[in-house]
Amino acid sequence: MKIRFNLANPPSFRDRYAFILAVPALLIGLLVIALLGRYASKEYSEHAELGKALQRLQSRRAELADRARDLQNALRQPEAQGTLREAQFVNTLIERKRLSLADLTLQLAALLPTEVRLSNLMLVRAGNESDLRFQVAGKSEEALLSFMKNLQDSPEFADPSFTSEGFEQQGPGAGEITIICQTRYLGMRPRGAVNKKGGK
Amino acid sequence: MDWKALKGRFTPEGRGTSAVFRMPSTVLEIQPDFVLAAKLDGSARRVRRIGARRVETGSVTPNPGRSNIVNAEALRDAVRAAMLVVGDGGGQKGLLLSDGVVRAAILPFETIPESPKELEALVRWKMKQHLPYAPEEVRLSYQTAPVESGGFEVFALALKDSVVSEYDAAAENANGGLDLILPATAALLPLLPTEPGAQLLLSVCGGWMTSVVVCGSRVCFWRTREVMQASPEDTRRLVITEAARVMASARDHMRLEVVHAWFCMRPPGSEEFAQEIGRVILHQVSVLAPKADLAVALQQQERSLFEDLGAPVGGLLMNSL
Repeated sequence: MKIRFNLANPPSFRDRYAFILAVPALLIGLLVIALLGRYASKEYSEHAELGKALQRLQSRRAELADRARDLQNALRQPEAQGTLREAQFVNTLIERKRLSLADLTLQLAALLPTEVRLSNLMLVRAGNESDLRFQVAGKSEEALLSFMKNLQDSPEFADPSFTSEGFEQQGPGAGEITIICQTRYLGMRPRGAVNKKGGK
Repeated sequence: MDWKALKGRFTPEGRGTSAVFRMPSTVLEIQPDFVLAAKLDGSARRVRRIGARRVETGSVTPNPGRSNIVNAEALRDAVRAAMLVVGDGGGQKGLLLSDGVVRAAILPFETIPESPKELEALVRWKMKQHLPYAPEEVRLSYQTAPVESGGFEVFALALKDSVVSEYDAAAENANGGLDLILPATAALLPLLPTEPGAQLLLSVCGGWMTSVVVCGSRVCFWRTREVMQASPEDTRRLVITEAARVMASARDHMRLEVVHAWFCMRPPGSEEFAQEIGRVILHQVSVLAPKADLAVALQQQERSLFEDLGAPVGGLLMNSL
């Protein structure tokens, strides 16, 4: 006859399954550790790669900065100043993209006092420069002087010169004083972008 | 997937609080007059070592409700000496006790609940009438079997916690590390051959006699009596009388025809004593002994000790099949 009874305390859950569960738990633990190790190793490799790439970029940037500094030093040499100016002007023209006679007239008209009028205008393109020749007529000498001062102060125009002066005695402009002005047109530019006294 | 069964397996409460049989690798038997220790090899079904020591008379007085250990020091010395012979190699430990410390009952049921927890609560409640103390104070173990006439019978054993603690301390397992606790006669049951009819087992040990009637794989009757008398002759007379009463009870009340009667006395009695019992109960009585092949690993002295006292140990090995 087979007996099944036993008056001992039944084994607890831990007694019964501790060993059985320990093996899979250990395996799972080892697997998790291996996965974490692999993940950490991968992260470390990526970090090292990124560090190297960053270092390469920084050295490249330093190299480019050195080259830029060398180029700037070269440009500061007297023989390169002309080239620099031309490059800046070309850059300015590129910025402006177009020379508008209407804009030019408006800019010039903005400098005219009420008693002064623009009677003719001529634009001469010489190489990279735009020379402007125009005639104004004013009813009083003070008005013309005010215009001349405005022209000299304007950032759009440089090197103004007044080459002739006349007095109309007949016609619609009788009594007006005429002067012929010649200046270089610098075009629309941001304030302080080019030193007017330095040329372009 | 059977989630209910899986949940029951992994939930301790789902299995009830009764333990099931577990084969120990070291077993200790404490009787009023001797302590026996044995090292077992369950997989090979061999007794590897066995040792026994006498216990000073009166040191242990089996009782299901009162304190059992009178001379703890003497008992502890005997346990240590017996364990020294077999060595403590770890593994599961078993404890066999005198039949006098347990209460047993056969409980009839028309139906039994499927839930082990509910069944245990029911058995505990029905055991109350068989216990002189609160059922909450006992450890319970039971075995159910269907009855041919319908319904079920539950053979239940109850052992008071405080009594277990005493023996546990004597066995120096105060941490509660015992994996198997049984009355010695329960460990003899696996030695009975599988037969269709009823079998009678008369077990006498340490001044206590237990009579068991087994019908197939069902325990139909269990009765334990103290038979210790002033003289051996009076004890023998009491054993014979008790055997005759049990036989009559089986025949008249339970209407069972016993086909085989077995007698196990430890320390062993004479062959004539078994024959004398047979003459009184009008049935041939065979001496119940463990199979000899269980002791092939033992030396001659240990083998004779096994033959004299080791029948319950042999029963444990036979139950592991």
